[in-house]
Amino acid sequence: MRKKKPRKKSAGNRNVGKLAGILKMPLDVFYEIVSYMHPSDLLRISRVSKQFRSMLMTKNAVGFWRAARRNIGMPDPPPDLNDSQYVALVFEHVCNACGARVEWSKILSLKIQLCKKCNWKNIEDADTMFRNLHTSLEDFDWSLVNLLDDLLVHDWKDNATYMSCRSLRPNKIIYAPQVKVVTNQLSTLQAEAREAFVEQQRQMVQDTLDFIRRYNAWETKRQAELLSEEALRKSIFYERLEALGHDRRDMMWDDDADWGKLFTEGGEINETYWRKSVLPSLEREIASWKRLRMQDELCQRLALRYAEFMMLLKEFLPEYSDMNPVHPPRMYWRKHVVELLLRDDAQTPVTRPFFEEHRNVILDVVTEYNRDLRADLTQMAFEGPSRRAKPVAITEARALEILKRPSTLFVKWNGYTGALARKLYTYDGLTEELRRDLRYDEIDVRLQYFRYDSRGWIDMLLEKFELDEDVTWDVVEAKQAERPLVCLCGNPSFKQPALFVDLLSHVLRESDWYLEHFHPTRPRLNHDHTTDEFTQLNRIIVQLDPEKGPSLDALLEKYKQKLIKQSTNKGSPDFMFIPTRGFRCFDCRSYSTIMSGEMFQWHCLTK
Amino acid sequence: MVLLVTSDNKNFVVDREVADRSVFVKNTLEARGLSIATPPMLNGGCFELTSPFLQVLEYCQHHRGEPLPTTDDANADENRKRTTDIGEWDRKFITVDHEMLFEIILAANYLDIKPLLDVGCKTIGNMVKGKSPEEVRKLFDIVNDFTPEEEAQIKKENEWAEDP
Repeated sequence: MRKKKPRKKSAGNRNVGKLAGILKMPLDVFYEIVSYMHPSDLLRISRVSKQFRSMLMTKNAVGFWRAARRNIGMPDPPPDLNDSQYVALVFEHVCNACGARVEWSKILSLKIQLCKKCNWKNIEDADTMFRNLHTSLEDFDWSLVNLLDDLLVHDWKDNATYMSCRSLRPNKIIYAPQVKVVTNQLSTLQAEAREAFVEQQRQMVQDTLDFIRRYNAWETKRQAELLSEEALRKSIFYERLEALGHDRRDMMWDDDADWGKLFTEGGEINETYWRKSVLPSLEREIASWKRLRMQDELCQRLALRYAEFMMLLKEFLPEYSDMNPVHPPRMYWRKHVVELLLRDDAQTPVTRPFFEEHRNVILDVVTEYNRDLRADLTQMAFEGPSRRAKPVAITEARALEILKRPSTLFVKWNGYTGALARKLYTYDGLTEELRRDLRYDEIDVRLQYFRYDSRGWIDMLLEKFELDEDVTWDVVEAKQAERPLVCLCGNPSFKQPALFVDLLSHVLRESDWYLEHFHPTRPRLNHDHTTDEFTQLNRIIVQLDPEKGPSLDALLEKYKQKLIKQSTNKGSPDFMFIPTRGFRCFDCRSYSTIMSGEMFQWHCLTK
Repeated sequence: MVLLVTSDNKNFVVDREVADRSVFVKNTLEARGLSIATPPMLNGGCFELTSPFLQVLEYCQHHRGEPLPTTDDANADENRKRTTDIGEWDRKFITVDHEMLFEIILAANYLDIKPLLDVGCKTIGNMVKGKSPEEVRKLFDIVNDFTPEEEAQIKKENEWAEDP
């Protein structure tokens, strides 16, 4: 029969409990051990069990508390605190009144720390406290009230983390329970005993003030030592990490992080500690910072390369304008340029040969832009009406009349165009107040909110309506009946049929670059907007093909119905909001509004 | 040379200089009027186990020749700031399992080898450093015999145990 091999204990549990021997040790050895400890460790050990408590939380153990304090140079406690209370006050964050965990609310001079609630309840300014005594202790000897100032240690309001707002004057604050103890003593003791008590209390105040001075000196020194130790420890970490090949620039330590205690906890940096505790945490952090740094450097290179590219672009295509409504907006093709530059992490400078080699990227983008635009036009032409505008009834005859009017297209592609366009579109729906009080140029001011260059829009409108700068709404309304159809293009759909046809014609005619302004006097083209036709970007004229798609009459009929429906919902049929395309997410191609500044890329919210 | 015999009857012959690292052995030898050249038949001490004694001997062997702490040193020690720094060799030496660590501390205490006792105590102190009561309980295999109320009370008030 095979012998079963004894199972090895796992490393993690091997030593658990083996230190139980500490309980069986001679007392002097135990005390020898604790004499090397930090006072806060001593305090925690005293809470481990009743046996430890009986060994440490006793007046007989004062020597060991003293030894522990000596290890860190801590001054002796104030007269009315025992060692453990003192250590707890300095190193722990527990409310002395309710036991709740608190953060930084020590009032050293009062020798307490309180949570917000207990602070509110128990900390008073001296004036309020003494006044309250007046109403509550009718038999109290008021001549002694003046003594209280001498017999109580106070703090100043500014020193306390939390302070009752009941205080009338921002001066001395006191701990209410302490006041009660002292006043009770004063009111109950006989004259002689009271004298002794007063003397004793005065001495206590003096001792406490001495203690505070000693403590503050120590605390200042300790903080300096801690900072120095921390700096030393960090420098050791730096050296070791650099020896492992890490870059100092990636060591952007944030001391408040969870692993910040690695710098402050002290103790020996041995190999096990370094390998198991320090290295994994810091390397994780370094990797994170390194990633950011690399990204930052890449962005800097990219920005430089991009600037180089733009300079050459100006030389190569001087007529290109980002403001031109029919030129693809820069934001649209920039991503392609960025992709090009990122192929080698933007390491290669954009020189003239580089540019000439890759300038097709722009032409490709234009081609793609045309295709996308036509796809959008097709799709958006059949979109339902917006729910924003107020309903205005319109007849079929009226809709047809509107459709046949010469129409004007205002196209803006950037920024807040959509919001501006909506505002302009609804100018029929401007409030009566606006109609009455505002002039066009004032509206311009209002519209600044939406777009810095909205003045351009206003000018275009004024020009279209043949209006003066100081025209009022009355004049505008008088002209409304004869005005042409005005269409405003923004993001991200396209709905106006006549303009749809016109713009599409231009897209097809000007496959590379569009004219700066679309003009209604240009001859319109019959066309078919089937997908097949749209993909033929090089065709200047697209002939209508009834077999492949609806005829122009059919389209017009469809748009007429749409216009009627749209007008019913949106208000003035004379002003059409023709939202066009927006920026698309680099990844999923959905319309996006978020741009990642670091990478010159647009992303939708899901990215 | 001196002969030291452990409680499990293992004999160890060591140099007098090494044996003198232990104040207990040194005093015993001196009290019995023995010289360095004494033949190795002296029963210098009685130890419970061979294993920790081997460790102790290794320590004494390594530190032979170093000045022994005097009585004045011991008195001064009472009032000095104690650090938990441990020398490189001592740290490696004391890197043993916890059971052995206690055996070494007990042996050092029994044999009165103050530097070794210090190393052991510092090691335990470092183990406990920064640990919560619960972690210390786990380390020492100690049952928490406080009720939750008692624990909360102690944490809040921190009174001496004998105080009412």
